[in-house]
Amino acid sequence: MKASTYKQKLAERVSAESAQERFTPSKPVSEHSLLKTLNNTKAEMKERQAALIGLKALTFASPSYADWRTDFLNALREIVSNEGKTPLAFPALETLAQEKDEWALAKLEAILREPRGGVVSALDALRLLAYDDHGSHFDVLREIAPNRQKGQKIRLSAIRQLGADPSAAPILATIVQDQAEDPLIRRQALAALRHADRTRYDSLANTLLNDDSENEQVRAQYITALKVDGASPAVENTLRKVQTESSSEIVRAASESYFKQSSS
Amino acid sequence: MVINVAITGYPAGGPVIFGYTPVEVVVTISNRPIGPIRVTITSTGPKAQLSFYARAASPPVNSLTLTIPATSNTVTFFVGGRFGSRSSNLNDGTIRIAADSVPPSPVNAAQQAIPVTVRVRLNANQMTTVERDRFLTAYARVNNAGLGIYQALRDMHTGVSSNTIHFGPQFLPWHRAFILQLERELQAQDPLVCLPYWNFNQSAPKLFTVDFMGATTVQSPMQLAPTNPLITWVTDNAPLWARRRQSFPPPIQSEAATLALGSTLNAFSAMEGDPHGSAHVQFQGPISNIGMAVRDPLFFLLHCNVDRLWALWQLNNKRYNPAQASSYPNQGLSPGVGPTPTRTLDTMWPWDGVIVGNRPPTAPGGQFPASPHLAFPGLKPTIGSMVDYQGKVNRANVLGFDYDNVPY
Repeated sequence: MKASTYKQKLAERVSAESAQERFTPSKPVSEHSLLKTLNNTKAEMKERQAALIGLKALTFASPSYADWRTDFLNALREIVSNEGKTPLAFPALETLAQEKDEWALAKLEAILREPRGGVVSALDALRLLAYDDHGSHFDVLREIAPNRQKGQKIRLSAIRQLGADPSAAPILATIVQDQAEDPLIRRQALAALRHADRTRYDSLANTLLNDDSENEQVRAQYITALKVDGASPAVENTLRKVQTESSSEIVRAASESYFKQSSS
Repeated sequence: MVINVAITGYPAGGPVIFGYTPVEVVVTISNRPIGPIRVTITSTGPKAQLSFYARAASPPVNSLTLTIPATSNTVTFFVGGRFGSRSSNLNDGTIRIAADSVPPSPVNAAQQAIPVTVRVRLNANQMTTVERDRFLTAYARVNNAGLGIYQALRDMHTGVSSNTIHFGPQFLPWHRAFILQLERELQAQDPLVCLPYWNFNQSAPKLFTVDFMGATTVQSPMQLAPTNPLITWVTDNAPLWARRRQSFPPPIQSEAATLALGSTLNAFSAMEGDPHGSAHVQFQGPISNIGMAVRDPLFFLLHCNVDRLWALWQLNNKRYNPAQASSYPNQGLSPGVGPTPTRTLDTMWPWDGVIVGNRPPTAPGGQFPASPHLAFPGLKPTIGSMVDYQGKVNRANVLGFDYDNVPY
């Protein structure tokens, strides 16, 4: 389409929108009415969930957020304290955790340590503790990460967060090396180990690269990371070999992509 | 006869990369014959197609014929990417310049071909696989596993800086500068890359996949393919990020309704709430919190679309002159030391390094990064410097980006 035609059509589209009777520009819902709905325990749960999300949306545009922040966070604490395991508990705790609310973070850590009776599951508590910079729950994560009795989702979340914990590197390395382990878990551990202990990651990952019997997803992930990290001449030589000789299509493709992007 | 070509702002022999916004081309003829010379300019691909302008404000044409009078050796014209066209590779567009004597003078001809590249910001959902992978690799390199400039960008957009960069007309220009900084860092990694946008008014099934910004559902944690460079992503000392679909996402105001908010920037700024705020809370995870949103690489694609909406609104209302209140309401300079930058002549935190008064206590990231071929907006950009991004009022104000669906 010609630029001039496009401009004409754009003007017509906007003009038609403006002409519609239903169009009422700039009519934001007030935080007061949303807070009222959120606090109303007799209102429909869906309405209250929508109100909570609406309030979060308002935080992106409300110059007076500082004025109603306390009321908002208090309302969320009330919900968590008094309403038990409802669909509001998770978004309320997430909002509090994002605001670094110490009360909420302590609550989440307590649920993680003793999930029975918690207003959210241990998995959800763990997810939300990702907002906690203190890392006081890392001891629990180090127990969860290698424990195959735990579910995949909770292990993935624990392993992801352990990337910020250098002392977890031996656990992560063990998971990466365990070929009987779920490949998705191994990949998450590989990504976490890369951040937790780069030296250990490099030595381990090179072993993965050279072993054509290794899981192709894990190998491909390592090769992809090399696109960002860069590879030594020795590793590049191995990559060239892998590019032509690997039995795995995804591994060959990842190697080929490495050389393409490196030359760009 | 010999044709010499110089493209204003671009070093001789270096890559010539532009978007739809035209750049100036100066053609000089040496060893010229006597009499007038006819110069014919065409776009000869092989991929990117070009538009030509006799003057910057002239309508675009696909070819141009100019005459150099007997008394001159030079002629100037303008060239930009043709609306709807873009490069797939560096130098896959060509400006062909042919010159010959105007009859009845004896025939004396010469020609010159200048390779060029056309890059524009694309709808992320419509990128080719190659474009996507180039972008993701550059993005992951800018992040550099938490050690790159991305962490400084993340530190600029926090709860502490929130009042400085939001909640007023400065929201749009500040974020225009912010995403331009990232884009310049991306282009330092790969000059063909532009920041793509997430058009949050349309479904984006190709964007929310394991191969791009991550597959997200209400129930499952986000997943990435092993071949996605974002698997190396780190911010705030934590690898990767969490994102899940919201159970009850709020409706997002349509593009047409956003563009119809009003014909002054004051009225249009209502978009900071909806669609901007509404888009942020389509997901659970850091993206839904103003102080944490930059942890998620989706943040910049979301804001690229916010900026595209502003660019479309500017096009429709011809709002490019920062000295007019309809283009930007707060004119002049804010009083006092370290004010919240809300006026056209105010320099913006953090690039100006001012950390007193109402400003945040630190200024992460240093000064604004330079472009290889543009002096603007300088190391300490002002609010007003972000308005005339295509240089329609002042050609020196070009910022060096265009959107695939916002013509010049």
